[in-house]
Amino acid sequence: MKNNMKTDRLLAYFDDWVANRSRRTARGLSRRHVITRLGKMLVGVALVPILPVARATETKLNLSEIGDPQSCDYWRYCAIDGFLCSCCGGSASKCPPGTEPSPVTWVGTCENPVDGKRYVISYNDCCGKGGCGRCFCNRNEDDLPAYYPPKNNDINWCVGTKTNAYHCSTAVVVGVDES
Amino acid sequence: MRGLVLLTLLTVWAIQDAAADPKSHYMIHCMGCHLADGSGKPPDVPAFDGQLGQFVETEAGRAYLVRVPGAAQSLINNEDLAAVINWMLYRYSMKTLPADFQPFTTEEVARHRIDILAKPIVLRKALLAH
Repeated sequence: MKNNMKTDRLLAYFDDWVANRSRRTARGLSRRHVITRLGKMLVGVALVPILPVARATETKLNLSEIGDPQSCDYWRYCAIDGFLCSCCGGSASKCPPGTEPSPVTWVGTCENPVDGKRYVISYNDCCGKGGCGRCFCNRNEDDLPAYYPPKNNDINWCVGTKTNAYHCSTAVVVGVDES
Repeated sequence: MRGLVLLTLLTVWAIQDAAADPKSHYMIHCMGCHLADGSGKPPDVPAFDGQLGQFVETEAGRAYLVRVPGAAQSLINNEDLAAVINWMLYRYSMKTLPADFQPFTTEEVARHRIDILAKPIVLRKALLAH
């Protein structure tokens, strides 16, 4: 745990260092300098993922995937129970237009056949419209009975949204399981 | 050049640190409701920001962090639960953490965990009001 404290302090120092370096670089460069433009481009690219498309966004994991996100046997769906958003106008990680992702959800892990690693999957439901009705998929790897609510996929997870009408389910990769 | 080497070393260290066990346990057992940034969904799912640190100021508050249903009933053993709670305190409450904070031990978690709270919100309000 001490290590974590040290890391935090070190990262704070590192933040300051980067900020100072950037300011110094900015002062020394002209408005049209190529580095200035390159910097803007980098910032632009970095900002794209925070556009308000969905609250749950895939992190920078350099994922290599195979399979069809519209098919129930796609690796990420190992514990899903519902209509696949990829068949309903959304994708495996984004809600279809007109629906909003449930902020709270249940989380499980699935093995990615490409690299054999277990990834942490967030099964965010998309809410605000009636059931999509396409691509019903019910796979229950690691799904536990309803007396373990946080690990159960039979629950309607459309809570904390404007309405609790369930439309479809996504499977967002949020991290690697190192445990 | 020296800066670059330092930068690379720092990055590797930071990544390795982030990939340690407690973070995975947090992602799998807590993040579904408390969210990646700990903002939760108040009032049903409390936010950590600025509050976790206050709980460890008293014995009853320390016990509370172990006794809340989400922690006490999580499907991880006492050692891992202690590690997750410590990780959360450093990750989400660094600013309000008392300087003399003693990390949770497996033994402390085991002692409090059997005493699950049925109505955590009542105790939570009382603890934060003191």
